[in-house]
Amino acid sequence: MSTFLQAGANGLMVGGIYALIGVSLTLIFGVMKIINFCQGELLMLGMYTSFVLYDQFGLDPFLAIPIVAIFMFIFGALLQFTLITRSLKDEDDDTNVLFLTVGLGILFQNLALLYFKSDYRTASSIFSDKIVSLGVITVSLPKLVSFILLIIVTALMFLLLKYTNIGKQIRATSQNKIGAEVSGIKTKSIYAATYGLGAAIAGITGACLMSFYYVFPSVGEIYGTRSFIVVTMGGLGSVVGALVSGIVLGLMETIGAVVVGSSFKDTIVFLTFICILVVKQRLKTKRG
Amino acid sequence: MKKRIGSRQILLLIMLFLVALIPMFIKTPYILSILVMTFYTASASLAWSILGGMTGQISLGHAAFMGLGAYISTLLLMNANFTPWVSIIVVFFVVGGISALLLSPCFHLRGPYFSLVTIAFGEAFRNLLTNWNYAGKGQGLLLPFGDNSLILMRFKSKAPYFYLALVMVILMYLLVKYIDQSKLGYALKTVREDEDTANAIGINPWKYKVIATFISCGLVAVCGVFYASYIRFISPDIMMQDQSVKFVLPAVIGGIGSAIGPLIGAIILTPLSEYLNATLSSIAPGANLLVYAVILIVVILFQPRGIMGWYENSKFKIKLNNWLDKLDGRKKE
Amino acid sequence: MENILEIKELSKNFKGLKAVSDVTFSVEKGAITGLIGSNGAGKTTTFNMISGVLVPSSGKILYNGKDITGLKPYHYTSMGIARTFQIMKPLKHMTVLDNVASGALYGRKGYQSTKQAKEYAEEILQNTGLYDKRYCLPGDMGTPFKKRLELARALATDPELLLLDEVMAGLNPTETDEAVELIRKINEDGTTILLIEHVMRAVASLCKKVVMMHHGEKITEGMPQEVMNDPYVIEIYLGKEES
Repeated sequence: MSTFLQAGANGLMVGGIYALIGVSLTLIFGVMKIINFCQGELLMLGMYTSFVLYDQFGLDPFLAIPIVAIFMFIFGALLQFTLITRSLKDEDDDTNVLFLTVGLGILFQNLALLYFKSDYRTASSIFSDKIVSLGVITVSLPKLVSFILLIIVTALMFLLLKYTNIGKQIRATSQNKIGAEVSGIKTKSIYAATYGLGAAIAGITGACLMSFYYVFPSVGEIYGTRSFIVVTMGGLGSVVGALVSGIVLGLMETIGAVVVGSSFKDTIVFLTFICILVVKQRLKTKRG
Repeated sequence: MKKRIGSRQILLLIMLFLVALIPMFIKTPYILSILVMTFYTASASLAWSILGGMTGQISLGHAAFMGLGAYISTLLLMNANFTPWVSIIVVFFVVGGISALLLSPCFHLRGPYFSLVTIAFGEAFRNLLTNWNYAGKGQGLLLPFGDNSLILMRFKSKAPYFYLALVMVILMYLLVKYIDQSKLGYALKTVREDEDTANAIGINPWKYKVIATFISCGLVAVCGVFYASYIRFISPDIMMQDQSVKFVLPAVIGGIGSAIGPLIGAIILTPLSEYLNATLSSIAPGANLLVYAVILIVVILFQPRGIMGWYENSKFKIKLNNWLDKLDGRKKE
Repeated sequence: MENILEIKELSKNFKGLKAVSDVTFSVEKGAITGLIGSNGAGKTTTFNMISGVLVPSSGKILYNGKDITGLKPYHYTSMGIARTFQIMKPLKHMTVLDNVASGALYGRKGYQSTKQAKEYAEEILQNTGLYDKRYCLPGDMGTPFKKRLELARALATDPELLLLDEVMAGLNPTETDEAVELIRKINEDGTTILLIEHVMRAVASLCKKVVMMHHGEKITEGMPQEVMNDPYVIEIYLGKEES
């Protein structure tokens, strides 16, 4: 029983990371209606930013979060404003955006490889190597702090979307782009801001991850694929869905590892994902 | 209307002849290996284009199906002494069948959703093979070495592989070209353009997506048989997503949806990438993929229909055709 | 006269919203029947059910006496039913000729070779006045030609019953007259036509019978002049259309 409880606790912590990266992806989809295939690479860039801050200035990954967030926001917004927006013109042809974001993913990954080489890099935090015990369960402190941060970031994002002016504009744009434009919202800037926000959240996730995991150029692939799974399970565009399915995915992985053994857990995860996707889409088309 | 043999056909044959002569004059294994990889990539990209270009279902998991082909033929060779030549046929039907069966419930997923499923399938297969004892786990499989043997598709020099790859790419091109102009091709292209229209003129989109998947994945698995015989080492890494992207890029850059596009894309990209990889991999790892990415991004931003898309609307095409017509005209006199 | 199509108490609900309720009418073989009504009256929904895109919630569709309710849309072509779309759906990256050839290949003609299909397609293009544009991409043509292309592609499947969804919307008076002539010609060649149209002038000159829908229900049917002089119909259309 305690193995399951422990697996559950671990799953919750991992799930938190999945949820957060899922939220960032779903935010971009909700507004721009595109699947950003380089989300994992944005997370990777966030991790490296955090690593550089640690390496150069000895900054704790957790303290680096605001800097990483701001940097990634600007980076994402610029990326959207200069490149991605150009291939959004053709409304019903989304293959261009698909290839563009895939291309950007390869670009970032190999830039990182070029600059940082393929070594595994770590950054330590004041919480590193500390463990919290709750009865039979033990949880590493950085993971727990990351999980709490996840809740705070998500709550902040909700507040931002709900109450601020820009949040309202983002929501308006996501509901009806033309309607938003007619009401005087500059959707181009909103797109840039949303993409920036998505990149910032991916960066925050990366910074959290940095506190207990290592970074390498292709780390984004792992989390990128997970983020696709999370958002399709939770429903593209739904923040709550991404949160819930992120946690579910984390639990599925860790508990699955206990049940079928750690080597085949990924296979199980991918197959479950495909089943969920197919069934969901079936239900959706049936209704119409 | 009978086809006349004009300057176009003659030029093409001359070019083919010259290419076929290359191994006679260039003995450097390095250059030959670049050419083999070019033909191989072009073949895989052509196979991909049946599903991705013609039918418009962007698969990002084709490397997994290529890998399946490579694994099946290798395991058959190692355990049953099965010749790769027969494996080609086995693999085409087995991998084609498996992929069509697995992907068939996913065909009502449109656009990027389908791509996501293919990524997930690719990862699932890779994960399975990484943990499967019989298939050598993550270390992969080393094909048995030995004397030259045509039956076992095993050669010590590069030249035989060069001709194999050349024949493979020519056959693949002719097949894709044939499908493109056939009744089947019209159905596939109609499905790509608009599924509602396809329905309205009597085309069952689901059925044709299954057919396209069968052919496309089966053919890419055949490329896998060649890959295993040529490299003589396979591991789950050949099923990685970035390997799939290597099949997609030539088609996108050359021009998606035309038979010649993947060929031109591969001829431009693969030598460049192999060259960069060989010269820069020690000092600047990833430089070849970096160049890939930059080319892809530039093409997508400025010429989304690829090189062929540019060519179709260019003055160059008109000039070239005029020039060729003139050649024909002169010959008649 | 014989009826080629009979619609019996057809209804469609979208999550509780009744888009079409209890619509019954018939289409006479060889004639042109019009389906009219204001926006949101349920005309296109009815059309989508007749062409198999939507499955009716209840009711029956009989084609040549055979129940075809709920059949998949791609079975319709071989039965001899073809349709056009209100929102034009050209095959964007294929030439006009290829667009129509695709219809010919999978229509009732059952061509196996693309060469034959293209020859037949060229014939259709000549009849619909698109022959000069056969190597164009649909995107390079204006709306009138795109509408014609929709029509040509549907015709290429060699239909017995042709369903036209607003093929004249967005055309100027001259273009409308040309379209009317084209539709008349198609009908005279023996194709039964059911059309949705807002252009009353066209409906009046083409249709033998019109069916009027409003809020998902059939209001009335009859000769165009009768229906258009119906006080209730005038009330619905008042200020919206001049008839």
